[in-house]
Amino acid sequence: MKMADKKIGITTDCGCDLPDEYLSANDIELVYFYMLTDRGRFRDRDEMTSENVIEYFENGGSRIMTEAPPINEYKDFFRRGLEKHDEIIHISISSGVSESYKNALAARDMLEVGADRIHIVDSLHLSTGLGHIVIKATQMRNDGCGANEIIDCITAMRRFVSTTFISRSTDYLYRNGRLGKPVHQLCHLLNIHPVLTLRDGKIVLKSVEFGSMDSAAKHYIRKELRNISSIDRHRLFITHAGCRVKRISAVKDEAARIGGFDEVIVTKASATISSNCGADTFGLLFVYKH
Amino acid sequence: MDNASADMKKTKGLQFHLIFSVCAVLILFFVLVAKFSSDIAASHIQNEPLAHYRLLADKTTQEITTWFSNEAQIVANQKAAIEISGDFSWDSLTNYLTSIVEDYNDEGYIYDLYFVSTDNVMSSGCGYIPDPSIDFTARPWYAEAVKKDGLYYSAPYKDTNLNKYVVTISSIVTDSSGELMGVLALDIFVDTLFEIAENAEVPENSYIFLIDANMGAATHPCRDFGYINDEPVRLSELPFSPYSELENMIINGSRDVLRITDYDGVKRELFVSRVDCCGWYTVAAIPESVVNSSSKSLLLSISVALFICLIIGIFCTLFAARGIMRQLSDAIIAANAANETKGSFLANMSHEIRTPINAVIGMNEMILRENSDPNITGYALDISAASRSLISIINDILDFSKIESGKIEIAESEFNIASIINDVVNMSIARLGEKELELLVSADPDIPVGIIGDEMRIQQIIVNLMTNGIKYTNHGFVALKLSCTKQDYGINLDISVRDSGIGITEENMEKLFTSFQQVDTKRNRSVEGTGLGLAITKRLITIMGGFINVSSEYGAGTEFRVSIPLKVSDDSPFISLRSPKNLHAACLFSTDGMDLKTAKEHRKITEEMTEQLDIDMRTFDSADEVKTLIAEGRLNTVFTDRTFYLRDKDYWNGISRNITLTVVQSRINAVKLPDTIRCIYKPFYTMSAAAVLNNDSSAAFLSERRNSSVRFTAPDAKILIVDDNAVNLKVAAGLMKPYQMQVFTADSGSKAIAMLEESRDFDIVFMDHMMPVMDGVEAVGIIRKKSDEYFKKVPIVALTANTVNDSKNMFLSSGFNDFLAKPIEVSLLERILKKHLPKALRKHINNMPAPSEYKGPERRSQNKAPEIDSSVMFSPQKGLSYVAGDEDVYNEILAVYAKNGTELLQRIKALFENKDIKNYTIEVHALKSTSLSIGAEPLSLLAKELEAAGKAGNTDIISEKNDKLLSMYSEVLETVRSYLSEKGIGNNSETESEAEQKELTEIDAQRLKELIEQFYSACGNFDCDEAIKIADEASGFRFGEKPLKDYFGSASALAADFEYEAAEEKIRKAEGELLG
Repeated sequence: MKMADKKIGITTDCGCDLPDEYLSANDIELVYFYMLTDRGRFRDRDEMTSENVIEYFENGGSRIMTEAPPINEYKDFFRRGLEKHDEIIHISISSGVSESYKNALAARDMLEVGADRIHIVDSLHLSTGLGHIVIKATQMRNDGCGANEIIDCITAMRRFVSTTFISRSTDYLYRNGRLGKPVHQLCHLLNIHPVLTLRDGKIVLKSVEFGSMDSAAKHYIRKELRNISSIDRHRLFITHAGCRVKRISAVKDEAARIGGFDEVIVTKASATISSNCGADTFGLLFVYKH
Repeated sequence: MDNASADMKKTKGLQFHLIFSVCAVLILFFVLVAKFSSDIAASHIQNEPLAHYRLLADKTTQEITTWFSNEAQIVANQKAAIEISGDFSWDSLTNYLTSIVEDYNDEGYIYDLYFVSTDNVMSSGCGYIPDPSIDFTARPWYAEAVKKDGLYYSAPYKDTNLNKYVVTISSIVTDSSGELMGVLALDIFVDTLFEIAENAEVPENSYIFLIDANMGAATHPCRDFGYINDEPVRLSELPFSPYSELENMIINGSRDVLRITDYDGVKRELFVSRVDCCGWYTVAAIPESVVNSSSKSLLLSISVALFICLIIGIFCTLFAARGIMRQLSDAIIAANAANETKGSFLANMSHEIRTPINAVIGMNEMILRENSDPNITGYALDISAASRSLISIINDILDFSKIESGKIEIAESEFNIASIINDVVNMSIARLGEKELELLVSADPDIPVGIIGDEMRIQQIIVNLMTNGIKYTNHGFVALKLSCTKQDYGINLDISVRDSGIGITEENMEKLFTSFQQVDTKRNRSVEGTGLGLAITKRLITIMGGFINVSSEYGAGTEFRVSIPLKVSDDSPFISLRSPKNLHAACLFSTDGMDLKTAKEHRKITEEMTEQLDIDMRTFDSADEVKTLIAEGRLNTVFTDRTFYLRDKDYWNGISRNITLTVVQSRINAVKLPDTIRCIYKPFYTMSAAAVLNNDSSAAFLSERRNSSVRFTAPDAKILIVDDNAVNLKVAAGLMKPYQMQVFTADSGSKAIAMLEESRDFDIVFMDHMMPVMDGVEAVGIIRKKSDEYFKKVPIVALTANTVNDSKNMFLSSGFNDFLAKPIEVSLLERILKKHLPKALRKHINNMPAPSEYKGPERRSQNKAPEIDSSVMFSPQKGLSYVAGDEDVYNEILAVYAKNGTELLQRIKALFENKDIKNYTIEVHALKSTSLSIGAEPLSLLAKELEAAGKAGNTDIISEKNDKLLSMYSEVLETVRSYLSEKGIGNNSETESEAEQKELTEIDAQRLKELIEQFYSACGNFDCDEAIKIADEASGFRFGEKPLKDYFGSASALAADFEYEAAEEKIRKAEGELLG
């Protein structure tokens, strides 16, 4: 039964990688991650972008630490949200890759008033994989669905979302301690391009591609879209970090050719995502039919 | 990380990859070759031992064959003998056979030689008496021999008598007619045969065994394969025999090697050789390990050889690769060296480039000051604009060079963001020129008032971005937004510059920050620029640890966002409102004439501002709503614009007596407003709004304060300027003229030293850095080494055009006291003079601007000089144009002009009467400048004429025109006072002291406290100008009967000397005295 009388706010964190226009048109508020360099602490997406991350490393910068939105910020964020909305559904980046979800829960529990009006959902995804879930929640909210209905739907939806990325190299995985040096060097020398995915909310290696990045990219696209009949072709996100225009154009053309999607939307990855995957990384993010 | 080491690091990485790749390929190649070769070799090599061991079997066979042949020969010979003898008796035959046996049995292996006739009669050579019942003709040796019609070799059998193994060789004997006579047989012990087999030279763990014609094992090391019932065992008949295949192979006539797991578990290879004479087989059983060992060792040898070749190959590759890499490294080093040379070249050229430009700008400045011909003034303005543009371009190039060579230093000093915003706004307004763009500004009041960083560079960044925005926007707006995010280390200063311009394509975004490139050059052909601005901006931001981002929509607009981490020295907000709770304000602005986007942006920024000020302040689209609220008494402050004001002028004029009404308008075609209405020139933002809300004009007048100069004169000061370039000397001297100092010049370091030695009373020396024969550094060194205390202490300021390297430290360590860059900025010059001139020599003149400074950006950008109408004695319009239309500033100047007028008039009169031409000339010189600045041009012209006459010593002209001067001056003063009176600005007709008395309005304790706090704040911020301003304002009041001038006057002077602590102390005492 749809409940249209309560005003529901949909919020998420900046790791959703959704375009600004969509967010502002649908009144979706973001809470921000922070990037810690040796000189300062910068808000992801706002003060520091994926290009900045890549340039930072290319200019000799050392490791960038990422910081989930602190609990205090979440508290203020929720308080502000409750001033505007009757209820809030906050969809967070996967708990398997960030403390954001945990901090959101802690912040909600610390609120003196309104905690019962805040619902926090672990998307088990990141980037526009999370973005797909946010869009679904927004659509249902706009259609007048109630919070519980929305939550049930997006919770069930999670396992049908495909979040994968292919990176040009393992440099950033190694830099962030996710890969040992010998393996990284071997991958580098053998020109291995890792394909990462989210499984049960955690980043795992799905496969590897060999050869030039151009051919690896094509191969990756074909592999991901091979079961096209089982994919919801309404919308495909191509989310990238540090890819040149030529690369994205080629990826878009190939994906459109194979998939026949109604919408192919190119977005840039957040700094948080980019700091883990590096330059010349892109992903095809879509939803399977369910 | 500088570029050289980055390149080298990349080279090493490339080297590693190259070497590894080549090695990997080589290894793969050699492995394949080795594998291929070994496979081929293996097949060849393995055949060798096979042949060898087959030969071994053959050799044994040959021995056996020879032995058999020898024995068979006995039979053959005796058979022949018997056949030849024909008829014989049995006795003779027996004797014959016995003798043969004796003759041939030396070695004892002949058992018997005997003959059996066809009727079974036997004759034996060894004396055997046969049993007549035995049918010898049925025996195999007989029957087979008869069948064979040749030699027959029996299988070995055991003789029961001797218990030895015997083989019978038999042959038929025929008579002359070919009739069978019988069979001759030779029984021989086969021990020897077995010994031959057993004693054959075989490798370890090998053996040779014999197989008879019936496939029985005649000999075998294993007893199981021996004799059963005295007969050789047929190998295939034994179930456990591994030789069944051997029998088949023999029967099939195959010569292959048979590999078996032998009776003892050892894997052996069987080599078979046939003893043709008897149909027996010799089998050599050799262990596989033995057979393969030699091939293995050979393969091993080949592999080792290949490996050695591989190592040699790798080393050769490494050497070759190193050679290539060395060449590559050398090329990179050469390129970097060339780059550094270019940087050094540019650095060195800085001086060469700046010196003539300095001359052009300086001389042009003097033309502007001293020339009254409108055409020439117009040309001079053009030159001024062009030369400033050129300086800007050169600065960009030199900046870039500095950055590229890593020589740029980022200063860390405290600054107030307000001054940056003000300067940026003013520069942006100037750059707008004739473009009809809305300049929108948003500044978060919570930005801390004390920030530590490089003020100049941050300003440069914002100016670059704003300049870009204005350049590439033809319609709409350029919006500047400044905010911050608080961090543990201070703040991130967030800067956003957004425009509604032509935008940037995605492809061009990739090369946006690349040096020397303008993007979309076809479209932007008309846009000036070196293409360095953004590259410099980005590099500066990166050096400061910040980031810059750009987002753009082609054809719609662009946004640059910058975030710079900065420390904070004072986190109080840079804008705060005095009585926020008492403020109830409305913003009523029209967006008529704006496109949708601009209107939306305007509304957004205005609403943002109302939120940021955090008072009861709202935006309205309808004047009626505002009027209603005013009528209800719910508003006491209204900001509106020209459009709304003109729509209902009478209403607004009337209501302005009851509320604080401010009209925000453009400087161009600004509407004249009554005194009760305040005016703020666009852009309207938090600073200007706060100034009104605080009832304080300081923020709005920041530009005036920055641009003002010549706050004092120093007629007793003696200055020495040293420069080898005559033009530079003239320029520098000319710039110092307004200060009325005694300026001396020297064209070399040695002359300067001589002049200093001679007079030892120069108060400041300005010394050029680069001079021939003796440069400035050397000259200063010599001066400082002199024994007299004067030489050690005289302030010497370096004048230099070389600003590529951060030379200041070098100059200071060389003996200079300070540093002034060429071309000389007047405000910086004044700062230097204030700092180093003894205070006793300075005469403070309070906000009396030099005309050149008050020409204002508008006038310069218009590139036209205002026309001088000599019939108009006093033209406020002209005067306003010199202060960019700022009426408040102009009124202040008029007030001061009026205030000092009487005294100056008297002084000129007295000097004339005393025939003190020198000082007379000085005074009329001052009158010339000040009169021009207020719009009293005819008076200015006359003063100029008399000044020239005074300088020329032409007393006749002075005598002739002095009265006219005095009369005209009086008239102007009268007119000015009337003008001020109409505006309700004091009564300036009285004498100075009377005026002073009248001006002393009483203030309350609250206001006094505010002024004192503001003074402390200004001193605390080392803001000399602000402190003087506040002190001057306070000096216009009295507290009770006590004129505050008595306290603030001296405090102002102390602040002017940068004696902030002393100034604060002065006011602290005053505070104690006045407020208790």
